[in-house]
Amino acid sequence: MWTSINVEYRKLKGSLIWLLALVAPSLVTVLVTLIALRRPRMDWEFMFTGSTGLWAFFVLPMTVTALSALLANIEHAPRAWDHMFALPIQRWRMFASKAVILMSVVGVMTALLAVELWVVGALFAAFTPATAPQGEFPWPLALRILGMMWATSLFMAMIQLWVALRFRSFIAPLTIGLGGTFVAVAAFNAKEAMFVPWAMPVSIVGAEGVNALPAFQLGLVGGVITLLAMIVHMSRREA
Amino acid sequence: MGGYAVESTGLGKRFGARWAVQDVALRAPVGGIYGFLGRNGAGKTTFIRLLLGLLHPSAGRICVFGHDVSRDRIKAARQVGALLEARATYDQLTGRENLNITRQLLKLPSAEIDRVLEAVEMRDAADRKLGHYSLGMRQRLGLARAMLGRPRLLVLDEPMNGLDPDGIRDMRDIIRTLPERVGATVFMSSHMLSEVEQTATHIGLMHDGQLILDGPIADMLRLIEPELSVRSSDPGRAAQVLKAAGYVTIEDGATLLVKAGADREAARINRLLLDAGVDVIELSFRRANLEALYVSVQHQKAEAA
Repeated sequence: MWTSINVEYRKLKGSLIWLLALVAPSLVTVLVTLIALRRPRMDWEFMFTGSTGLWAFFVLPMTVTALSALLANIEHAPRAWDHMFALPIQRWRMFASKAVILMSVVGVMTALLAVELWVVGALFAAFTPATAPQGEFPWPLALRILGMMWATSLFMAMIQLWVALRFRSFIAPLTIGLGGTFVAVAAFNAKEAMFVPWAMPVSIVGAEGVNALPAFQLGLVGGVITLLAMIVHMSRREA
Repeated sequence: MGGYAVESTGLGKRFGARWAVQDVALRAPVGGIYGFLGRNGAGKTTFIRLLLGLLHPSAGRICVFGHDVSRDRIKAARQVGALLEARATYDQLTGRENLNITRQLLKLPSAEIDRVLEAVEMRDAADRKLGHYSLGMRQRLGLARAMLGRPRLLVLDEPMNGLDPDGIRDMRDIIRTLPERVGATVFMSSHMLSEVEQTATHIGLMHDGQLILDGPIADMLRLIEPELSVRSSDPGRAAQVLKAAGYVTIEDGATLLVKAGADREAARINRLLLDAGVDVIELSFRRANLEALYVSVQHQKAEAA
């Protein structure tokens, strides 16, 4: 399995995936920095929760949509599936490796967001201490919230990856991703939002966190079930 | 079913109501080059996809060195290296990196890459990105990739498609020597009859999903009656005259092919046409070749239909 993951990782060389992984969290960081400039001496916890809300609300689902489409396109574009499927290796490993890579990149982006926010705080403290966020950077909160968001995003990510792997065209995963994000935005305030995979990560910080645990559990369990269903379906499918 | 590199019995594949491959019993012997012929849509690609386990048969079975592809895909796939699509490579990577991906998946030593690059004479270009490769170089790299792990069977789907004359010659030379150099049986689909004739030891001909010829190429060519190629001022009239005289004729463009092998028959045909007022421009015997066999078989099939 490690070999398959390593091979998938090597295929990322020269793809837009790493650029996207850098730009997406940076986008949130830039926005938060601008807000911090207008509202000096914000409380760190408030600033962090706001940042992760922004991340989970829109940037994360859209990035997962793009990442999964790019990952699938590595095989779709050169019509490489036939070559891969003709090799004497278990097909499930290929799909499982794609899922591992997708979640790893999402993990890297999530960690990058935390680090970037911490760096912004440190820069404020160093150059304009009067406007720096108050208190210490809330590392325990950051680890808990971002960790839960990452795990919760498994459900949405596996749906997106399944669609992207199944259909050669970009249109299908893009439509699902845009549609899912739209439903998540529209249903944000509703109690049922935590049942929408694209809204689950934002439920970790939304509504004062009352839906955090059920959303986390649903996202994780739903994600694992979807991952298994995707692997079974894609492995049995004729190439 | 262990005596053949590829052996299928009653093999069929149905898409909806249409049989793309039907009741195919094919035998490709070990150590030869099997040329798999047929026009577009004849079922060649479907057969190859069944052979590689990319499709599941609707009927019958197919074995590679005795391993049933449906029941034991991994064991069968271990015997096979395939060149399916020249562009099925990762353009952002170099040739060597592309090979390395397959090498890693097959858990082979690094030295294997240099061996296959040497075999297709690609060592110099191996560290260039594939975006800078010509189609001929891509085909050779694809062949190198198929050879990783010394498979006993190389499946090449239209390996000369889209190549320029130099590329075709290079590829032909490489393929022709593969059984001797790497000890592999080659199963090659193509619609380039002259190339197959120059490389294959055995042929199979697909027509409308069915295998209508299968065997050593020399035996197949013996099936063709000698033919006289007739170019005349009026091919239509010439055909009428010769049919009336009891000859079997096939129209091949402006040329009329007549089943007649003896010199005296050539003289008689010449006289018949001149007497009927048809000017004879050229009369020549056609060597029994794959194209003649192909035209003859297709003609028989069309007449039967």
